[in-house]
Formats: sequence, C-alpha cells, structure tokens
Amino acid sequence: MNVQNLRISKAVSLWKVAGLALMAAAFLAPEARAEGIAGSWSGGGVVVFSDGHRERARCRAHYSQSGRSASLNGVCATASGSVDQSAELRQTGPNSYSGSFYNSSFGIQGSIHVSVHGNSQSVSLRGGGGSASLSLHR
Amino acid sequence: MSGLDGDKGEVHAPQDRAPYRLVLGFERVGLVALRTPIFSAMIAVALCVVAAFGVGRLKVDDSLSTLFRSNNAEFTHFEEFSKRFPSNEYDVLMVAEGDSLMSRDTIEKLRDLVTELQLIEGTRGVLSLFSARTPPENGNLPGPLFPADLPEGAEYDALVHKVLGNEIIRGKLITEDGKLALVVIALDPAVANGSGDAKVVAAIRKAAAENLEGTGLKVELTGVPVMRLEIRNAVERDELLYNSIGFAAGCLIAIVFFRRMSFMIVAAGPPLIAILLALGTLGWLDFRLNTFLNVMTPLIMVISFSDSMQLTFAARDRLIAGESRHKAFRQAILVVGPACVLTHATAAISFVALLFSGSEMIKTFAQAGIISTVIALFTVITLLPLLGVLLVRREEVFAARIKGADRGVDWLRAFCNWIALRVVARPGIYSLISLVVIMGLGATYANLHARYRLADQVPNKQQAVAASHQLDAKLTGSNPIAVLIDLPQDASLYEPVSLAVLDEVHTIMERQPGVGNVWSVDTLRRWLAGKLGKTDIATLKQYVGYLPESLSRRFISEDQRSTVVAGYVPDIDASQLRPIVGEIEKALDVVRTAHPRYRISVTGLSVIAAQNSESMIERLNTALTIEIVFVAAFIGLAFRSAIVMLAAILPAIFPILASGVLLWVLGRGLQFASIVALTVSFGLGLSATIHFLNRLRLEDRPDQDAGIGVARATVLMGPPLILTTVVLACGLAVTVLSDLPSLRLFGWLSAFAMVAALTADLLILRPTIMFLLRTWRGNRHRAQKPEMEPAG
Repeated sequence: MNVQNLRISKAVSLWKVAGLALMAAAFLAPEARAEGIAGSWSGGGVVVFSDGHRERARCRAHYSQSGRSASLNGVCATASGSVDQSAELRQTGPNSYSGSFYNSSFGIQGSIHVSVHGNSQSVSLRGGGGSASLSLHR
Repeated sequence: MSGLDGDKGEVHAPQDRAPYRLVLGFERVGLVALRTPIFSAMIAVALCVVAAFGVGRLKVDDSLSTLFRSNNAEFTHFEEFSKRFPSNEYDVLMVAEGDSLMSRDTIEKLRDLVTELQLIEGTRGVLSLFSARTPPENGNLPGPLFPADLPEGAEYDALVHKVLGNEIIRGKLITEDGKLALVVIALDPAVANGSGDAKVVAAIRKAAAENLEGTGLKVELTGVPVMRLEIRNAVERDELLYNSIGFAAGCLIAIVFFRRMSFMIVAAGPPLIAILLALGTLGWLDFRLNTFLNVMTPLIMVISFSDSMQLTFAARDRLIAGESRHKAFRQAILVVGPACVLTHATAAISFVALLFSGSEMIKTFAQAGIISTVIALFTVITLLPLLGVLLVRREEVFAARIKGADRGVDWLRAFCNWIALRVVARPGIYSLISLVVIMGLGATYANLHARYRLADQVPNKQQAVAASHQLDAKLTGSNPIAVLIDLPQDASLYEPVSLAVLDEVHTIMERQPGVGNVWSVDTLRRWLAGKLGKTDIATLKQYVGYLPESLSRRFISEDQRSTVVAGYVPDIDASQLRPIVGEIEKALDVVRTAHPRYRISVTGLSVIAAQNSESMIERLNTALTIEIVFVAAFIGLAFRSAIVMLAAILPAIFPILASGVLLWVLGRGLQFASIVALTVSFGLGLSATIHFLNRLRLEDRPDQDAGIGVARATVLMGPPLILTTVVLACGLAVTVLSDLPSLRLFGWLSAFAMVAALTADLLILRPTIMFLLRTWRGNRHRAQKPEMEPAG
C-alpha cells in the first residue's frame, strides 16, 4: 500500500468515527439537550369555560421530574375563584411534555401539553368542555 | 430637725414606741437577707436568671373575644357558632378607595390584585365585586360580570353602570358612587390562629402595593386577623416602652432627690427586680399578655417603687442622723416595713375584688395581680436593705455633706408643715367640707354609665380602625352580626319550610335599621328568582353547588344542619347596639313562634359585647364599692381602731369619685379600662393613707392632743408621700404613649387618681382623723398646741 492510499484510508476511518459519533449524538440528543421542567413556575393566561366565556387567570405550578416523567401540582386563580390542579406528564420531545390533568375542585380531568423554552413554558389544557392557555416562567 | 421619731435628734427603736405589731411582725422577713448578705445576693441573682427565662416564655393573647369569655349561655353559643362558621373571625377586609376606582385601568389592576390574592399561601378564598355573575344564558353557567377583555369607551361606561346597579354587590362590595370597594379575603384558620398570620397579612399588603401602583387608590386592611395582629404588635411594643420609660423616670426622680447614685440604685433596683421576677413567674405559669395584663409592668413598678422610696427615705434620714448603714436600713424595715406589708395586702385585696368579674380576661388579670403583688412585696423588703448594706459606703461623709443642705427634701417638709398647720387648726371645718364635696361627687358618679366599643380595644393609630370607620360610614358596617338557624333533625335546608324560615329571617335583617350588607343562601335564591325566573329548589341546590366551598361554608355548615344570615353593623357603643339587637330579637320572636322546631339565635362578637359589657362593667363597679368597705375594715382591723377604719373611708372614696366625675365631664362613660384603673388606683392610693397612719400610730400619744401626732406624722411622711405620688403618676402616665386606646385611658386616669389620692390624704384624711380622735378623747387636750419645728 503506498502513502497516498494510507492517507485516504485514514481519512475514511476518521470520517467513520465522526459519523458514528454524530449518530450516537443524534440518539442521545433528546435527553442530553432536553429542557428540564422541575421547579416552581408562575404566570398567567386565559381560561375558556365550556359555555364559551373567558376569564383571565394566574397560576403557580410546581413540577417534579424523574427521568422522562414529571408530575405537576399547582393552583390557578381567576378573579372569582381558584382551583387546585395535579397532572402526570411524560416527555414527548426535547422541549415538550404531555399527559393528563385532574382538577380536584370540580372533578374535571383532561389533557395537558407543555412546551418549555429555557425559563418559559407554554401550557395548554383541555377537558370538561373547556380549555386554558397559560404562559409560565421560572 | 431629726425627722425621725418626732423627738429632737433622738432615735427610738420602734418596739419601744409602737403599741402593737401592725402586721404581726411580718416585716421582719425583710431582715433575713441581712444575716448573710453575700449568699442572699447570690440567691437573688439566680432567681433573676430563672425569671429571665420565664419572661422569654410570655406569649401574647390578642383575641378580641377574650374580654367576654365566660361560662354564660351567650358566650357558649357564640363559641359553638364560631366553630361551625369560622368565616368572619378569619376574614381580612381590604378597603380600596379612590375617585378613579371604576376607571378601566384601575379595574384591570384591581382585578389582577384580586386574582393574585388567591394565590397567597394561607388564603382560602376571596369575595369581591369581581365575584358577581351575569344571569346565565341559554342554560349555560353564569358568566363573570366583568368580561375577560374589558370593553372601551361607551361600552365600558355601560359596564360600569351595570356593575353599580348590580343588586347583589351594590352597597355590599361596592358603594353606590363606585368610589369604595370591599374585598373579603378568607384566611386559613390554621394560619390565622398560628404564627403565620403576620406573614400572610404582609403578603397581602405587598400584593396590593405592587398591583395597584400608579392607580392612586388608597388601600387599608381591617378585620379580626388584622386587629389581632395590631393588638399583638402594640402589646409587645408597649412592654418594652413602659419598662424603659418607667425605669428612666424612676431613676431620674430618685437621683434628683437623694443626690447619690447608690441611693438611686437602692430605690430603683428592687422595683425593677420585682418586675423581672413577677413577669418571669407569670411566664413560667403560662400567663399570656393581653391588653390588661400589659398593665402589670407599670403597676408592679409603682407599687414597689412607692414602698422602696418610703424605705429609702427612712433609711436615708437615719444615715443623716448618724446611724450606721446596717442599723439605718434595719430600722427602716422595722418602722416603715409594716406599712409596706399592709399596702401590698391592700393592693392584693383590690385584685381579689376583680376575681368576681364575669370576664376571664379580668379574672386572669386579677390572678396575675395577686401573684405579682406578693412577689413585689418580698422583693422590696428583702432586696432593699440588702442593696443598702452592700452599696451605701462612707455614710458618715454623706451625712456630713447633706446635713443642713438637703434642699429638695427640706422644701417638701416646709410645704407639709404649712399644710399641717392649717388642717390641724380647723379639723371640723375641713372634715365637713370633705364630706359635702364627696357627697356631691358621689351624686354625679351615680350618673356614669357603662360604655364598650370594639375600636377602643384596637390600636387607633394603625390601619384597622381607620378602615373600619370607612366601612362603617360607606358600607353600613364592619362588625359582623349573624342570625344562626339550626334545623330540626328531620328537616333539610332544601325544603320549603326551611327556605321560608330563611327568607323571613333574611327579610328581618335586611329591614332592620343599623344592619347592612346582609347575605345568606336566600340572596342566591332571590337572584335566581329575579333574574332567571327560577324558583325551584333543584336549581337553587345546583347553583349552591357551583359556589366555591370557601363561600358556601360561610352560610351553610359542613353537616348542613345550620345556616346563617350574616350582616354587618357599625362599630358603635354597646349601649347603642343593644337596642338594635333587641329589635332583631323581638322581630325574630314572630318567626320562632311560627316555627318552634327551628332554633333561631342572634350571635356574633358585636352581639356578645352589646349584651355582656354593661352587666360586666356594672358588676365591677359594684365590686369596687364593696371593696372600699372591706379594705377600710381591714385597715381598721390592722390598726385595731374603729376610728382608723372610719377615717380611711373618705380618702379612699375621693379619688374614685373624682376620677369618675372627670370621665362623666369628658363624656367618656365607664369602660372596662377605666373601672380597672379605678380599682387598682384605689389600692395604690391607700399606700399614702397606710404609710401616714403607720407613722401616726408611732407619733400619737393618747395623753396629748391628736393634732401634735398628726402634725409630726405629716411633716415626717409628707415628703416621701409627695415624691412617691409624683413617681406613681409619672409611671402610670407613660401608658398614654400606647397605641391602644384602653391602655391610654388606664394610664391618664390612674395618674389623675393618684394625684387625687394625695390630695385626699393631705386635705381629707388628716383633718378627719384628727377630728375623730379629738371627739373620741373628749377634747381633753384641745388647749395643747402642736410642737412644730421649722423644716430643715
């Protein structure tokens, strides 16, 4: 084998190693780059009730996370009342979590979706004929 | 003038002169510490350390209902009601006021605040104008009166018009002019009763400041939790204040007149230690500081300081005459000590009278007073001679310097000499004038009536009272009043008869003048009937189910066996509230007669106050009258003389009547604080009388004119009596710095009573006893003139 062939062979090897590394990084990427959700968050948004009327709301939420699962305990308030919420979520993407919530004050359950971007998150809930869109911050 | 035993320069041991032992020799307890002064001092230090830990255990009882806590039916019923419907006691009332309240921006911010309040840890619900709903449409749930996105321009004006016309919130949560809004914030009872209330109230204030910045709204907090917090802060602050100022005042007076630091320490030290030991004991016995118990500090100070001044004066006089410090302090205990013991016994008896009050707070005050008085006595008579022998040095140098140059004391003696000459010359006239004056004062005192108002128990320089006044003026009241309806066992709230009873009771409360802001389940029923045309019970039950639990529990008990019609009354005097309660009771009699199975009762803190305050105050007043007779008899017994007993009555009554007439002139009426002030001041005022009588029994001789003994005793005891009164008045007057109105009243009234007691002692007691002694002895020695030596 001459020197030039050796150089080409080395370059190919290097690319293979790099390619393997990139593939490994791609597999590992969702967890290595995942947005953590654990901690206390607060913010507000709008709640739409089953009959269509809307109210502004403020919420406080505390998440605890274990691997790809997270649980939420929180309270949301409008000017006329407050409700306690709990939810179980599972990470569905690098920045997103989905799951189901339960509202103990009114016995309502439904689905919850959370998108996390750094220290902000968007939360949308649907259930009992109503929905809520909230923006929370750490 | 020797100023000692009336003879020129001669010192006589009391046992050579005294006809009998006044308090059976109990004063000799004070000499025990002198046998082993160093060891005794060490024990005193150890006790102080233990007491200091006891002081650390003292807690504050800020309950507003404690004053009326008793075993009677009304209070027991109120306690049951409070357990089933705890709402009012844990409501913080936020009053937001401003001309721009209903402007769009301000309403947005106010709504944000109301939302934020519900997220504060420790709160469990908020009721405000934003809780109001519009009538439901198309079978949907009722929507909020204020839409999520507020309209603008003319549409917003129309919304404002609609809000101000909403029959549920108008006049209850928003004034008709739209300039004052009430937000009711329910606290978690566990937080309100624990130590977390301060944190929650602070968080509420912070949220209000942050959310309403720039709106120009004035926001104040009131309600029972806020009042309790303000009372607690005021009581804790006042403890420190009175200790500091009282200490400083006492030291200053002592230094000015004694002219030596060691005498100041001897005079001021035992009272301070007495305060420490007494408060420490109360702490170890789990007493809780409250509005009245907070008086214990100045009270112990004045009782103890009075006696320590008397003892120090007596010892000082003996030192000036050339005695050694051991002998001087020992003799002071033997001569003045009996009067100190008797004074404390009299003060203790005045507290015993309060034990018969129907109020637990006042009874506890009496118990604490008896304990403190006993401790103060032992502390003063043992520690004063101990400090004297340990601290007074080079007494011969002091005697040489002061003799003939004791200006302050000499001036006081000259003044007392002047008084003595006059009263001794015409005792009959002075006695007659005294009797007439006292009878006149008594006639006016009889017109004094009981008064009670909640605002008098709460600091009036803080927010709660100011906010309450706003609510009283603009939303018909801040004090809750309730009618409790207990359902029969076989009845439910959601049946026609029960709802009919509720409707009748609600109507009675609404129509009662003086009662406003009436709420009950019937409010919802009427709204459904009026707006939706729905009168069926199923709909009512459905809508009650929609309410947050924190709101529905205000009106329906958890077991659904009781319901409440709640209203508010202004914070007016109990005498004005009683007729309102009486009218409600009378109107409810009709409902009770028609529905005998339903138990209907009017209750609430303001109702309890209205019903119980007058009887409790009058009971205390009667106890005071009886106390005068008992104490006079006690003194007569101690001095073994019916003349002394008779002579002690008029000067004892005078300060009480004079103070009462002053209250009448000022239109203040007889409040709890004033009756306690009079009762305690009566005991303190007797200190002057007893010390004079004690001296008189040593100076008076049956074979000479009574005027001689009276004059000598006046000149000898006058200066310390006057100085002591100045100390007493100053010590009590410091309470006028308190934020608590009841404590301020106690302070200035007690100070006035002390000055009145001194006046009575100089101008009533002396001529009276002289007149009685002369009459008893048949004027045998009228021809003898009293031997008066020029003072100094």
